[in-house]
Amino acid sequence: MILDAIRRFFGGSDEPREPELSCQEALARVYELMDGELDPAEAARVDRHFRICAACYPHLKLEECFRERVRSALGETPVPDEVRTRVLELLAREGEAGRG
Amino acid sequence: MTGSSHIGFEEEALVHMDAVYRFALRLTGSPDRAEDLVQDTYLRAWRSWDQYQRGTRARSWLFTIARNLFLREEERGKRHDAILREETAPGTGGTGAVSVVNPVWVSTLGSDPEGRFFDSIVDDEVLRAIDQLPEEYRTAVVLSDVEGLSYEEIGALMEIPVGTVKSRLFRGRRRLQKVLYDFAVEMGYIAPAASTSDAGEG
Repeated sequence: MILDAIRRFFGGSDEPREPELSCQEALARVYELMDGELDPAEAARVDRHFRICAACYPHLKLEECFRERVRSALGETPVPDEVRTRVLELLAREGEAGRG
Repeated sequence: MTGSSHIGFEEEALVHMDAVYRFALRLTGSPDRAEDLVQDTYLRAWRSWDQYQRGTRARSWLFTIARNLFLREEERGKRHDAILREETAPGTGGTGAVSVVNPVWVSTLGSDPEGRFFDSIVDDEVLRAIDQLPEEYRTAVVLSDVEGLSYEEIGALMEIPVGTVKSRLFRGRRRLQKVLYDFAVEMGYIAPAASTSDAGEG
């Protein structure tokens, strides 16, 4: 109670400020942060830690670099035209059979 | 093609064929098998279209069908058991049980702390590394990192709790990073770390 009052006093706001995260706490949430799985307030807290902590910041960058690499290796593979055509033909036959 | 009972199939299901093919490629590891799996998936989806709840996410539904068809054909044996043993080991419910400090972070601190070495690795090598992951990790990583599904969607699709999704993503990503890191060291893209060469998974 008293601590909260002191925090509010020094925070200069009616809204109680959440205590800053430790490095351990921030690092443990790095994937949830990147995956958009934290609620906005928690995401802001974790994100703030990574932005102000010189020790943790590179870890976030490494994870982002890794994800981008995985995405770019996998993300640009469209279904080949002949496969698409065969699927559509298959479904057309199935549709015909269903009606017949 | 679209009969009256298949209204919406084109707009809701066929539009995801690229994503289904990508997922099938990573599940099967081969273009031929991926093609078969895409065909089987769409045939199954077509036949059960009346069971699909309109407005829910068709893409997740198609991924679920594809994965179930794939798993049915696979021997899930040892690998699957190994994963389950790992997941049910004491205190491994979430990400906290294994050290939060990634061994790859430690290894690269002196030379490449922001992981630029990943960019030096060619697509084929990245794909090969992904394909080496056990299916349970591979599926979670691909659905999250590439297709952007939420933990809840992945959990529903794989029939596992959200905590297990987190754990699989965490372990899957770390394994993948370790394989890519080792490859980068081997290829001379990055200098080996002085004393953490045996840093493995916790």
